[in-house]
Amino acid sequence: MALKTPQQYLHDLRSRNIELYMFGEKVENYVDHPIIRPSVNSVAMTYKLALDPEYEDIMTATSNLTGQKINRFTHLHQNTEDLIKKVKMQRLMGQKTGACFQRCVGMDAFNAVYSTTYEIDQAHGTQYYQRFVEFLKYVQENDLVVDGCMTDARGDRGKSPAQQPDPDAYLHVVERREDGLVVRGCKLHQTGMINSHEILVMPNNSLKADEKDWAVCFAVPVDAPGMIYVYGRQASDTRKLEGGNVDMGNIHFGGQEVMTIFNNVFVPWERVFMDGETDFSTMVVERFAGYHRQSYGGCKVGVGDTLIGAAKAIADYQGAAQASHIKDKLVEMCHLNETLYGCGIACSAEGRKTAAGNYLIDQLLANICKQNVTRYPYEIARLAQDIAGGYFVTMPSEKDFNNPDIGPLVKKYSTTRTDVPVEYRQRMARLVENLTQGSAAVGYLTESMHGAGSPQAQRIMITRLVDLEHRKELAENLCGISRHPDIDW
Amino acid sequence: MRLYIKYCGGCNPVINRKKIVDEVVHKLQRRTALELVGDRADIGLIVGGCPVCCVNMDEVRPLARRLVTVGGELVNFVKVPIAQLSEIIVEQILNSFDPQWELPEADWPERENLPQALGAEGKIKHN
Repeated sequence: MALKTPQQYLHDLRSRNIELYMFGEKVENYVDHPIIRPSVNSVAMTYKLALDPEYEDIMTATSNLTGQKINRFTHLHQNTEDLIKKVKMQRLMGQKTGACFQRCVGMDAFNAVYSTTYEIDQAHGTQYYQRFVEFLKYVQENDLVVDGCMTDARGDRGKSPAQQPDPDAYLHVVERREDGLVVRGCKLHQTGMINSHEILVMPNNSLKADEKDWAVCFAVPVDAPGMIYVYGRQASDTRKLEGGNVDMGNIHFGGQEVMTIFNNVFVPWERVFMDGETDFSTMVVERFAGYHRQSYGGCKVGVGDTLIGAAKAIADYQGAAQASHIKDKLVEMCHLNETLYGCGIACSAEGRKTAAGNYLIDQLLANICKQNVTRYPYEIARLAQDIAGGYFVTMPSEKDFNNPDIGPLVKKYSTTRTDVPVEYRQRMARLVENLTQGSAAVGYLTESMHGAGSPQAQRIMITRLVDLEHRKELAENLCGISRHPDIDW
Repeated sequence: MRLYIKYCGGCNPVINRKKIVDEVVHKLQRRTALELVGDRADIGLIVGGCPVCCVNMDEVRPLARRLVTVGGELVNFVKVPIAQLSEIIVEQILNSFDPQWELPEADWPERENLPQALGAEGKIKHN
């Protein structure tokens, strides 16, 4: 079963019992919960498109581990073409869902952990790499969704893990047993967690030599004993409970965020891929972050495509499409969006082989990519709101439009072009609202800001990766400051 | 004619790939006996949504005797009017096809050398 159907994926989710809370209550059937289901649909789309001949060329790949055709979301990049196709796949998924489809984080974790475990074994004589290969074969053969899991609760930001008053502020090992580890802590911002089969946990940051208990990398099933999930609140989330679908904006798809608590969770040794190797914590963190910063040059571009489309549509519906400033703003939105795509493609094309054999993105360009992603979607959203006009925050609810007494008046005064149904404007305005300040703005804007690291994290990496002294030398050569000003032809 | 159709991934199409293919298939069916296959084709129609046409040609080439490549508004690398796209593709396919072709096994590469990801097991689904 190398490729699952969406139905098989949904069956997987229904066949387990996870401890999930929302609004202070335990959720029993989360797959069909109206607030959660759109995020499930977003992941299910990764299965649907992989089976479609129209999309299989970028949605699938051939496994280097098994030789089988697999979903690209479970693939180890074998060359720069794979890296490029990853970005294209993410753009496609963003276009089809208008949301975070949650599966890239596992792919990024696979590629980071695969190459890092190989190098840990080379340095320390450990056996992590082969363990991880066996785990990944299981993932590929069963077409599983895996949540790559990094960001801890982190307590006092001015203190390292070992200095925290509460050691659980960073996930850590609390017991080493004959058969495995017991871990405790909390990972935040886990978008796809409850829609995943497995969790692949990595350390949060660079660690000091005495912080071995925090240098831990492992995998456990999402329904492992001790796992507790608390669903994040988001803007307009309860609109999905109101009935109807116009006011949801995006009627089928969405994202989410989940607080993930590891309350003394047991991990068998065969699922442990790092235990105490603090000297490799930086490598796994930077590689994962680099891959994930590349990802944003695809997924947010795809969502941006839908927002540009929404802005174009609403300009058409309102009779403003021919205004020169509208055309110019749409061009600017495209320019910004394609710049992000260019960065995603560039860091992929400049990728390199690791010692383990899989390919790693160009770290500098991936960080430049993500740095731009922290800004441009906000400008694209601003332009979309500019084009849409203020009506989307004044527009009455779907129930008002359907009210027999006031509905006709609401429709009369919501009419723009008489040849365009009022409902078109209503739906499109809600989509713009959804993407720019509703529940999907979590994915399109806040994720763009903080996902894969906040802006300052990229600036630190850029500082580290750019050779400013080389650039200074270039300038000194040009203006005659260097010791050999004559050209040696 | 045995026709193999391979789509690019469709991340940034400037044409409606499915609509174009439907038109091409419909027009071909009126002019020749057409069989859609996943391997050992007379003609391979590569349908890229944009000029990049990022399908891996090395993987596709062994599956068909000749290829006709579409990349957005380009047919075999030449820009054509989009309104005539399907008609020009049909002409290119028919011009590339030799009705005298037979399918001696020796003409084809060893099956086990083909990438498994290409669906070499048989016919592809075409809705």
